[in-house]
Amino acid sequence: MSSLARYRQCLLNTYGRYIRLERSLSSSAVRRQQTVAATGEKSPDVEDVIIPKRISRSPTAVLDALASTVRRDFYSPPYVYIDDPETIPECLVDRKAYVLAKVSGQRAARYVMKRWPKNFDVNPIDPALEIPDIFKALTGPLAAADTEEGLRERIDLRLVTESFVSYQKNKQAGNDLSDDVVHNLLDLLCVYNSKDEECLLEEERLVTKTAASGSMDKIRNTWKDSGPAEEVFQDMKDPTLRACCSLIKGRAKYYQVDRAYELFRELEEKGMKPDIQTYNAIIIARSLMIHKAENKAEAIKELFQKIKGQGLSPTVETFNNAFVTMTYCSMADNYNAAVFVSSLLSEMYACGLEPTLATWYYIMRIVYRDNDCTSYALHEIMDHLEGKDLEAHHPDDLEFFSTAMVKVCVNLKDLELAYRIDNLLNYRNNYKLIGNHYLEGLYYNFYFKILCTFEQIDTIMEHYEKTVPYWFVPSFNSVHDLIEALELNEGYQYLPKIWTDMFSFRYNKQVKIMTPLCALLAKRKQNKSLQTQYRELVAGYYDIVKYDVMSLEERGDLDKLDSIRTVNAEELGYMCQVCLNSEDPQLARELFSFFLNYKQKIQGQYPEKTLESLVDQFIKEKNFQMCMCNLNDPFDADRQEALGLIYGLGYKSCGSYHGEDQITDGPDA
Amino acid sequence: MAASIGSFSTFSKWTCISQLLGRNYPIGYTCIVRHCSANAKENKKPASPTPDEVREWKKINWRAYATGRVRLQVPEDPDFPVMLIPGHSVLPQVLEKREQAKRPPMKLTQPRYRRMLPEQDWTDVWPTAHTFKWSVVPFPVRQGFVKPTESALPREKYGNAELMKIPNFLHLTPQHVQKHCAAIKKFCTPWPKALEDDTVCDKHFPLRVITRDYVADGPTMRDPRARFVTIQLKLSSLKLDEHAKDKFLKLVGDRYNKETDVLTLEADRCPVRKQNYEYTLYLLTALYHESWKQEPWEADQTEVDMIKFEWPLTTAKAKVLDTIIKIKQAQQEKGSKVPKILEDLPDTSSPDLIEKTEIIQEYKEVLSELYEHGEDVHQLEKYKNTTKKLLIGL
Amino acid sequence: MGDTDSCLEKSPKRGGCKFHTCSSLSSATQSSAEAFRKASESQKPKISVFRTSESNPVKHTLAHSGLYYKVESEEYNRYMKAGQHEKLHKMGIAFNEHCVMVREPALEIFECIRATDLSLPAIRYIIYGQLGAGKSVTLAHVMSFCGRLGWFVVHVPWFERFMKYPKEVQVSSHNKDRVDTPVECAEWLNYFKEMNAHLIPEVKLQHTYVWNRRESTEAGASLSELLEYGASRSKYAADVMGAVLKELRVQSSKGILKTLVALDGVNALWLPSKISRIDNRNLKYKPDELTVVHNLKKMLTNDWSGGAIMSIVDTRCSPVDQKESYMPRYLLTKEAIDMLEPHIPIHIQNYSDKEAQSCLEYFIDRKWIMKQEGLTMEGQREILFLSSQNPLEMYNVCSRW
Repeated sequence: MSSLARYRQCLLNTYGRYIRLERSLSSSAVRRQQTVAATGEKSPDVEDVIIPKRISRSPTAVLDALASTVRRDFYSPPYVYIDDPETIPECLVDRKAYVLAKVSGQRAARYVMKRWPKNFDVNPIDPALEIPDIFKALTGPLAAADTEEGLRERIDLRLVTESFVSYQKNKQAGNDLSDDVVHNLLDLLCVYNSKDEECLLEEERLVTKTAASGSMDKIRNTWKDSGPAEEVFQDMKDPTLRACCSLIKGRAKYYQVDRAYELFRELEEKGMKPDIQTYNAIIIARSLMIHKAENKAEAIKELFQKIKGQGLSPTVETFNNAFVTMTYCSMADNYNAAVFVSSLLSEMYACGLEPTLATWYYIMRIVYRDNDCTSYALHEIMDHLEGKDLEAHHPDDLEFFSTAMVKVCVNLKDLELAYRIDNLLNYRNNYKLIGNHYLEGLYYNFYFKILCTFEQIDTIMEHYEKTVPYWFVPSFNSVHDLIEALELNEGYQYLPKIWTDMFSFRYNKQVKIMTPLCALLAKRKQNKSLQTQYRELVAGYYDIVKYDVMSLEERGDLDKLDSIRTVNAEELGYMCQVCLNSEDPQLARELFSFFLNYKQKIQGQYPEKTLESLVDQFIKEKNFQMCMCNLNDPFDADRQEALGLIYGLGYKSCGSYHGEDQITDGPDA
Repeated sequence: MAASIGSFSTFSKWTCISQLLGRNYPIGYTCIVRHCSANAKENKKPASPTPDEVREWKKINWRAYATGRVRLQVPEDPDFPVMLIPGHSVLPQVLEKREQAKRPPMKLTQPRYRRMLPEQDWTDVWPTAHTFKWSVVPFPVRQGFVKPTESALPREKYGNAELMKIPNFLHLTPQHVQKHCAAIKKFCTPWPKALEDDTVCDKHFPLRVITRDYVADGPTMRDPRARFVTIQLKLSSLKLDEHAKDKFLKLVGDRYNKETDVLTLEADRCPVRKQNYEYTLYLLTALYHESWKQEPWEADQTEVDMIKFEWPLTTAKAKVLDTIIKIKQAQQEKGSKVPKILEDLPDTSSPDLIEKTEIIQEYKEVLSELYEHGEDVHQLEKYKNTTKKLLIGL
Repeated sequence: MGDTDSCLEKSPKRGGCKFHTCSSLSSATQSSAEAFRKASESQKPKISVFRTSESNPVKHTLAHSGLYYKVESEEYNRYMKAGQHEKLHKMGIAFNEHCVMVREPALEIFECIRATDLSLPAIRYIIYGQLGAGKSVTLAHVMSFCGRLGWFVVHVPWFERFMKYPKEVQVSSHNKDRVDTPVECAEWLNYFKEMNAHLIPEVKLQHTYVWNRRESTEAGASLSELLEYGASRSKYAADVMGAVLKELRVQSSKGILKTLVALDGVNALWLPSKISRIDNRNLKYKPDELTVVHNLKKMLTNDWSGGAIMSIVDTRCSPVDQKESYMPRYLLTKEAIDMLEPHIPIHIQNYSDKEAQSCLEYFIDRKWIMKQEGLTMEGQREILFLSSQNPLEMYNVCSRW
C-alpha cells in the first residue's frame, strides 16, 4: 500500500477517538454582535450587519401564494381529464362513463388492498392519506375483540358492527368497561345507525344525482328501534346526559322523530341541559311531527326560547335546520312559511351569525316555490353575496347556484340577475361550489335558456364557446332553445359549429335536434363560403346515414331502420335543399335517389319546397326521368296541380316519344 | 410412378401433379400433392379444392399444419406450379375478400389552440410545469431529426415525442415570473445594507448550505432526493498552516476546487435532511481538527505522497547532488575541466554545502516552477539553460 | 557559403536532362514540363540558397543552419539508414541523394559535446518534439557527427522490435528472472558491428566473460571476436550485447574510447512489453524483466564517463491513451525521470520560416513539387499553411503537389 493510502487509513481509524476541540472554524459578525451584546464591548472591525427577522410562514405558504396567482381558464377542460382532444369526453354519456371508470378503478384498488392487505406497506411516517377506510383494511385492530382495548381500537377504526360484537364479547367475558368507551361506542352506533355503510367515493358523488334534500319523499324512518344503539343505551344503568343526547341526535338523524322528542322531553323533565347540537336535531324532529307551518313556527320559537333559557347560543346549524323545516311545508302553507323565514333571518342577523349558502338555498326554495312568484329576494341575496369568496360547509351549500339560476329563469326572468349570479360563480375560487355534474348541468341549462330568450346570438355564442364542451354539455331542451335562438337571430354563421357539436355530443340520432337543424341549414341560401361549409356538413352526414342504411341492408335487416333511427324524410329533403343551394346538383340527385330507394322505410314527409326546387333543377337539366319519378308518387292535391303544370312544361320542352312513354305510364292524374 | 403413389392407401385420393402436367419427378419423391379435377386439367386452371378435400388434407397433415409450417396458398399458373416439398407443402385455397364498407370517421373537435384569443392570459392557460401539450400550445413548432437525403421538414408538434421528452419552460414566461414574484414578495425582507458586496458576504457568512425541496402531485409528499445536503466553504476562511492545509487537501481530494478555492462536502447517507446537515458539519469539524494533528508516521512521507513540489524529498535533488559529487571526483582524480560554476566548490564538499550553492538553488527554482506551472517548452528551455550551466558551463 | 552557382547550374539542367530522356512520355507531360521549366526559369532572379556543400557534420556551424547538406552514401548507410523514417528513406531514393538539413538543435548539441570534458560523467540529452518535427533526423545528424569524430555509436533505432513480438523468447542463462530475445539481439550485434566497423578492430576486452562451463571469452580478446561469438551463438546474444555495452562503458570511463549512446523512443524502456510470459500467457513481461532493457538502462545512467547519451522521447511508443502531449515528463515515467536527472532537454520545433523556405526550394529542386501552383507564392503559402511547417507534414503535403 502506498504511503498515501496508509496515511488515509490512519486518519480514518482515528476518527473513532476524535475529541472535540474548542477551535472556532470561522468568525461571524453576527455572532460577534451577539457577543457584543453579551459583553458590552465592541470589536473594532465589525460592521453592523443587521439581519431582519424572518417572516414566519406556514409550510405551504409559498405554494399557496403561488397558487393564488392562477385564475380559472375558461377554455381549458377540468383538471380531471387528460388534456388532449382525443381523450376529453364530449358527450354526457362519455363524461359519466369516464368518471365511473375512474371510480371503478379506485374500487378495484380498494378491493385488492382489502383482500390482500399483507402485500401492502403502510409507512407510519408518511402523512396519512385521506382514505382512512383503506388503512382500516390494512392495519386491522390488533387487540382481541373481548378486551376493552380491542373495543377502543375498533371504535377508533370506525368498524361499527365489529365494535358492537366486541362490546357483546366484553359483556360475555364480564369485563368492566369504562364510561368513556361506552359513550364512544354509543356515539358511533348512533351516528352510523349501527351499520357499516359503504360510502360513495368522491368522484362518484360527481355523477350521482342527489335527491333534492328536504323533499318529503326522502324522509323515512330508518332508525333501528331495537338495534345495537338502543341495546347499549338500555345496558347503561344510569344513562348520562351525554348518552341521552347522542341517542336523541341519532334518532333524529334517522327520522325516528317521535322517540327522539320523547327522550328530549324526559331530559327536560329531569332538568338536564342538552347541548346545542341536540337542540339542532330536535328542531327538525319536532317540526316533522307537526304539519302546519304556523304550528311549526311556534314549535321552533319555543325551542329557541329554551336554547336561550339554557344559556346556549344558537349556531348557524340551528338556524339552517330551522330553515330546512320550513321547506317541509306544503304548497298551501308556503306563505306562512315565507313569513316566518324572514323573521328567522332577522333573528339570525341579530345573533351575529352569517347566513351560509345553504341558508339562501332554503330561503329561495321557500320563497320561490310558486313559479309565478317574482319576489326581490334573490336580488337582495345577490347584493349580499356579490364579490365574496364563498365556502362550503354543508352539502346543501352546493345547491345554491343551480337553484338560483333555475329560479332566475323560471320565476324572475331577469337577465341581469343571471349575469350577476354567473359572475359570482366565476369569481376567483367560487367555481368549486357548483356541485356535481347534475347540478352543473342544471345551472347551465337554465342559464342558456335565459340567454337564448333574451340575448343576441353573438353573446350567446360567446358564452357557448366558453363553457361548451368541457364544462357543460347541453341537454336536448337547451339545444332546442339554442336552435330557436339561432333561427330567431339569424345566426347562420354559427350553424357549422353547432352541427359538429351535435355530432360530438352524439345527438345526431335525435329527431328533435337534427330536423330543426337541417331545416335551418336549408332555410336560406347563404354566402358562398358558408354555403360550402353547409354542403360539407351535409355530405358528411349523408355518408354516415348511407353507411348505416346500407350496412343494415347488407345484413338484411332493413326493417329495423325505424328502431335505429338514422334519418327521416324531412332531413333528407333539407339536405337536398342545401345541396341545391350550394349548386351541387349531383349530390342533390344522389340524395334524392337515396330517398326514393328507401322511401318505404323512411318515415316522415318530404318537404314541399325541396320537391319544387328539385323539379326546377331537373327541368333545367332536362332530366325528365327523375322528374317523373318525383311525380309518380301519390301526393296530395297541391302537388297534383304542380304536377299538371310540370307535365305541360315537360311535354313541351322535350316533346318526344320518350316523354310520351313516361306520361302514359304515369298514374291517373 | 403413379402406381407407387396410388398404392399408398392414405394418398389414394391424390394423383401426382406431375402426371397431370406431363412432367416427371424422380422416383422416391413423395410429395403431398393437390388434387386437380378433370375440368381444371382442361381449362389449364387449377381449381380450388373442395372443403372435403381440405378437411381430409388437414386430417392427414395436422401436425405440419398445426406448427404453422404449412400455409394454404393459391397457385397462380399451371405452367409454373408451386414446388411442393415434403413437410412444407402448399395447399391452395382461395381466400375470399369481403368488400367491407368503412364507417365514415367521426370528426374530432378542434384542438384548443384554435379557439384561443390573442388577448388571453397565458399564465392561466399554462400555470405549472407540464409536458408539452400539442393541442394547447398556440404556435407552430417543429422538432425532429431529418435525414439529409430527405427533403422533408422536421416533424410537426402533433404527437411529437421529441417535444414531449425535452423540458419546456412555458410555465416560466416573464409574465409568470412577474406574477409569482409579486405573490411571494410579502414573505421577503429587505437585504441587509452592510452585505452589499460578495466579499463581505463571504467574510461574515463563509458557510453556504444547499438543500433542495421537491414538490410533486402524487400520493405522498416525501421525496427521497430532499435529504441531500451540500456544504460549500472557501478554504481561505479556515485557519490552516502549511502542514494542515496539505493534510486537509489530501484528505479531501476531489472535493476541493483549486481554481475557486471552494471546498464542497455533500452528504446523503442519512434518511433525513437534518441528519445529513449535522453530518456535514461534523465532517468539516473533524477534517479541520485532524489536519492540525501531526501523526508520527507522517514523517515517512516520500516524494510520491506530496501534492506540491518538495525539494528536499525529490530524487532530482539526490541525483543532481550526486552528479556534482561525481564531477568533483572526476576533477580530483582525472583533472578534468569542470564547468566554471563548479570550479569554486571545494573538492570534498558535502551534499549540504553543495546544496547551498547558487547554481543548485537556481536548479531547484527551475524544477519547482516546472512542476508548479506544468510542463511546456518555455519551462523546459529554462531548465535546459540551468542544466547546461551546471553540467557543461555554457 | 551558399553555393548559388552550383544550385543554378544543377536544377534547370538536371531537370531538363531528366525530361529529355523520358521521351516516351505523352505530349501533355512534355508540354507541362516545358511550362515547368519556363516557370522555374522565370523565378531565376531570386537567389535560392538551400544547400551547403559542407558534408562534414563536424564542420557545421550556425552559418549552415537551414541548409541541406548531402550525406555521403557510405555514411548514410552506416549511421542513418536504420534510424530513419521509412518515408525519408524513400525520399532519398527518389531524390537520388540523401540530404539532411542542418538545424539549430543539432548545432546546439554539437556545441555542447564539443564543450564537454569527456572525463566528466556522461551527459544525458533528451530530444523531444512533435510528431514529424525531425527528432530522428537530428539524432542521425548527431550520430554522423560523433562518428566523424571517431566515437563508438550505440544505436537502438526502435525498441519495439525487442519489446513487441520478438521472434523468440528464452529465459536468460545469466539470470533466471530475466528473459532474452536472442534473434533480435543477434541482429543488433551485427548492426553494431557494421556501424562501428572501423573502430572495432582496435578494441580489446578488459574483462573475461564466461558463457558456460566450456565457453568463455578471455580478457584481451578483441571486441570483434566477442561480436562474432554473439552473432553466431544467438543463445547468448543478449548477454553478449550486455557485455559489449559494459566494455564500452568501462573503456570510455578509462578514456580509451568515446561512446555515443543514441536511443530512439527511450520512453518505451519503461512501458510494459507486449511479450506474453512463458509461464502465464495472459500476462506480459515487465520491461525490467527483459535483458535488453536491463542492459540499456545501465547505459543511461551517468555512472560512466567518456561519452554522451542522446535519447528521443516519442509519442509513438506510448499507449493509445497517453498520447496527449509530447513533453518528456509526460511521456517518461517518474522512475525514468529520476534515472535521467539531470538532463538537457532539446526541443525540436517545426521548421522556422527560413528552414521552411529552404525545404520548399529543396523540394522544388528535387522536382518533388510538380504542379504549377506549387511554384507560385500563393501555392507555397498554402503548402506552409497546410503543413503548419511540420517537416513530415510538408513532405506529405508536397507529395500531392
